[in-house]
Amino acid sequence: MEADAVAFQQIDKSFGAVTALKDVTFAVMPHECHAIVGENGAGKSTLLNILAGSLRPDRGQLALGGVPVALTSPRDALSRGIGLVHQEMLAFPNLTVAANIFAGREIRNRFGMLREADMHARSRALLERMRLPISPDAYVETLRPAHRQLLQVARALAFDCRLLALDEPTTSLTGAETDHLFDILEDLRRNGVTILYVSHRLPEVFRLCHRITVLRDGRFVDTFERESVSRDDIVRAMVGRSIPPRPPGQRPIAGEEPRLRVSNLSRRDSIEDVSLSVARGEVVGVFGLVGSGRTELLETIAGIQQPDRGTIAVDGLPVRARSPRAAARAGVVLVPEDRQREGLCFNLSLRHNLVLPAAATRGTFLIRGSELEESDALVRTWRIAAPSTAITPDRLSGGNQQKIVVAKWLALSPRVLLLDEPTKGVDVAAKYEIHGIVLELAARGTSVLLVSSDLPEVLTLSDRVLVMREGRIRGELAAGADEEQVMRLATTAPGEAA
Amino acid sequence: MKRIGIVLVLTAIIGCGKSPEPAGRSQRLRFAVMPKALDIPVFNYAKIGAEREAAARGNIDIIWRAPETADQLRQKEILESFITQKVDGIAISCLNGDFLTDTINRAIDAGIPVTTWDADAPKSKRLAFYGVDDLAAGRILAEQAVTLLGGKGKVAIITSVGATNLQRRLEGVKEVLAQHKEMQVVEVYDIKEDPVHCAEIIAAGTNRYPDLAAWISVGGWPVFTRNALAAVPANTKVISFDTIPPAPELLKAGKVQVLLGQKYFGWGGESVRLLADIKAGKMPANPIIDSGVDIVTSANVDQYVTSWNALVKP
Amino acid sequence: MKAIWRFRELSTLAILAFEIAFFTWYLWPGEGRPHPFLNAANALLVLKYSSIYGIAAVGAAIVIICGGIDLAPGAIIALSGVVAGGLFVGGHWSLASSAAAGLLAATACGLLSAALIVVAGLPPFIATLGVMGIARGVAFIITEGRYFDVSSALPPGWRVAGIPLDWTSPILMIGLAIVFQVLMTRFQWGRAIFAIGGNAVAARFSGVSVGLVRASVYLVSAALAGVSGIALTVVQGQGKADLAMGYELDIIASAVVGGASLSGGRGSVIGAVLGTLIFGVLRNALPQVPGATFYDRLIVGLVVIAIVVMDQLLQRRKGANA
Repeated sequence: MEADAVAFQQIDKSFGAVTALKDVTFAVMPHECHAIVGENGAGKSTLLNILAGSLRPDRGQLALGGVPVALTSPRDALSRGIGLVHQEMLAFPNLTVAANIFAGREIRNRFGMLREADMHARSRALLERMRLPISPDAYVETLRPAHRQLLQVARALAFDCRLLALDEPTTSLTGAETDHLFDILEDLRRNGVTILYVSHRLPEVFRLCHRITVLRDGRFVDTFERESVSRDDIVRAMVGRSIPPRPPGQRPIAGEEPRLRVSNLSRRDSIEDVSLSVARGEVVGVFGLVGSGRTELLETIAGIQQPDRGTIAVDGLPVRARSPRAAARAGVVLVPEDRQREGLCFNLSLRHNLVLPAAATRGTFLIRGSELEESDALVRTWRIAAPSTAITPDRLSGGNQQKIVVAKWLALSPRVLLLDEPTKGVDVAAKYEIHGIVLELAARGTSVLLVSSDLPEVLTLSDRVLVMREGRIRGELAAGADEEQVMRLATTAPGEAA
Repeated sequence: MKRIGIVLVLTAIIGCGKSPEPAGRSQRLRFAVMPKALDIPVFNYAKIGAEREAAARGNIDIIWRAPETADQLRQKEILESFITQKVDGIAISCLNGDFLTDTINRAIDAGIPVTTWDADAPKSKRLAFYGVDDLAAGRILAEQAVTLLGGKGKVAIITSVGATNLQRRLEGVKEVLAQHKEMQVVEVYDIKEDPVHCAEIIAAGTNRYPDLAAWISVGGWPVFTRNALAAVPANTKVISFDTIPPAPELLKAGKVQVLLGQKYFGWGGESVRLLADIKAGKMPANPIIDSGVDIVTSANVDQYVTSWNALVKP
Repeated sequence: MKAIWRFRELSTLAILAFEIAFFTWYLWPGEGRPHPFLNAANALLVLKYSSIYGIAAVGAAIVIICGGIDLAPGAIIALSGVVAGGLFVGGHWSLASSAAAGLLAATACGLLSAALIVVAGLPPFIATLGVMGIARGVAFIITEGRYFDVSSALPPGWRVAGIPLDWTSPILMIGLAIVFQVLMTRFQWGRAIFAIGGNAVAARFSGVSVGLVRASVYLVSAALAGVSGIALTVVQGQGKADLAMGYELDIIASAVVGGASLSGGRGSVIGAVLGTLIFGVLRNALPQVPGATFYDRLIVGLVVIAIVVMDQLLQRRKGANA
């Protein structure tokens, strides 16, 4: 019996207070195609990064071919035959295909000069083997996204690769291109390479892989044989928890004109024909996996992006917001996903951050003398833990920073509140406080459109759940839906039966 | 804490080691000698001349001061600061005489004698000007060219627009050349007081006018460096102002045919002498003192170099 | 946060005060001589020449706080002076209308910068570099290498509204500094500028009209350079195209020494003016230090580095104490 290609033994990994992996133990057999599935945040990417040598586990070990190893760097992993195809495009658009393939690991002669002809020849051979119709001299910026993704695979294969790990490789591929990739992978497998395939697209997983490992909340759940398991079984394993029942009859669903109505909203390469409505006091959750277009949808409604087609109406009046300012004046505000980059100005005090949107959207000239009281009032109302409002945001915890971002918009008493991952990177206590804020707002009549990857959160807060996939709304589930239903909708390709 | 740091830093920087009290006897005179800018090499000889004269007299301190590069505002600023510092005398080569006229007058009204050298401020109340008669010098340049070329040929002129003295020299050149119908000025190049530019200009000019008979330069830029004249073909003559090294070498090597020398050391020395005399009550008989020019050709270059070297050594 | 800003301006003031004290001590004269540095005429001299930079440094600080940079002030100083001088001397316009025209020319340059940066999306360094060339070029074309003799067209001893000529620039500098300090701290416009400089994306998401505000700061910077140029022309008496060459770097350095961070979001208008005075005092006092003739540039460079390093250390200490 051959030794396992790779075995993970009791791997632990944490980032500060966040536990990404806990006691993960499983093995991958040689020459098989092994899938790793799980929700967003289950720990799949972290595990792959440990395998590829870019992260070191806090506890536990890796064993390659039965031999325990401690990988020190990506270069070390590479030299042991481990290749990783990343989820993000790690390509250099200004360099050629050949240069990209060998980037960081160029072939040099003994004087240190680059051996261009060698690299060119090896690239050409590799591209032929993969049946990729691109030239080694083409500049990557001219390539289609699909080819760029396959180029990542080529890069991993450029060296003697015994174990190839792919992280969500098909996000930008069409059906035909996916087929092509699978052919290549099957080819490789027959030639002795072991494949680790990380994805949340179950149909693909079932097509390609022999065994499927499920991770959930950073822990190992089980490894299944493809032949003996159904898609539902996998979904249940991915989701696997029970949610506390929602208190019944808490939110009034008004029968009047919806506060927010979006019709046929489309934007090239992000959302397609999205229609939804949110009533007064209603919380509508939008769930979807990475790449489903949720953030783009919110940004389009909030005036940050402009739609190509479609309409938005607030309280019956059409709104064409060309900027966040215009949207805010129409009563639509957005709490963005990335508070560091999009939510806070770290050179300004909390006070200045809190009063900025109100002042900017109302167009006041003079700074109001009351801004001290106003900001203090906001801090009190929303229970933000800060020693004073004169400090800068970097001195607050993530949860409190997020509350500042929410509070500053609430100062405008918006009609529609859009939330994009409001509790991402937030500690548990702050998370529940933010949930409380959302429910309180809804009770007061604000319409809330909530995007989140945290399925329990979505289900707890929402009156209805819309599921998005690849830029479209795949389906709508009423209150009381269970997680598996949602997950199923989120993971099936359009046109496929759920 | 940081204040102590600043004290240390600044004190270390200006740790010239000089005592805070300048040599205190009140009969020492402080003369400010100001060239147009610190980066014009020809004026270094004025500094040597001034310091020699001061050392010979024994009771004079020379403050040699100017903007780092030709900037009229800065020169005016420095001049004004000498007024507020109440120096005993100022000798200045003006970047723009008219611009400095008011300030010079203010200095004189404040009791500080002012003389000019090399570049004058004729409308001001300055007590004396020591330098070449620019118009006459320009004429001489052109006459030398005429003689060399036998009265006919194409000529290109190099000048720097803006300085009054250079303007006058240019007028002198043009005046003489206009009298010879067969001499034609094809172009007047503006070097913008940047000698590094010179090689470029000469290369461009030689390219554009391959049959150019001579270059006339009203300033010494072509001969300030060894390679500015590299692009000049063998049968094109060069007649230039200024004889400071490496100009004589270039003349001996045949790259230049005629050089017009000013009294470089005299700029400094004579100015100091004039100021000292004025302070002692002796006014110059004639405010305009023509220093004259030295015409240097292959015939007398060796002798010129010998007497030059004698003056350079302290 | 207000306290931090005031703290930084105070430290700039402290450096200036120390500098003055130092030179007063170092240049103490022998018996019988008046102090060459510490006298009223010299102080006026420093103010007069510093304000050429100082008025424009107010605008430079605002642009830098907004996260941008402006390389055009030197050229605009020349252009506005040339336009005003030319119309006054050559066109026989009244002084007021000539000045207005000069200001208009400066603002046109600012409009060009704003359009290139906000509409065309060019990096501010490149855009203002281009405008610098255009402004300087137009100035040369107008003057054809000569100059406009403004002082001859003004009666001798002429005063601006009763103020002696030499005092006009310093008064303008101090007045404009106060006005813009108020605008930056008590008005929403100033707040938006700090926000954009700190995080332009977040500012936009927060409803700030980033494009409009950015355009306005370049207009302000150019207009202030225009004021400086017109004042220069009237006070010094000449409208020339080659004045203020290279001054933009000194102007930016003054703003940085006064507390502006080139990465945006930090800075002060008052600090920029104090920074200008720090350099002005150095420029005035160093010539009087015997033997320091060729050390000017070196000393100025060392002072800039020393101040900026101190600033960085202060920032880091503030962050560590958080």
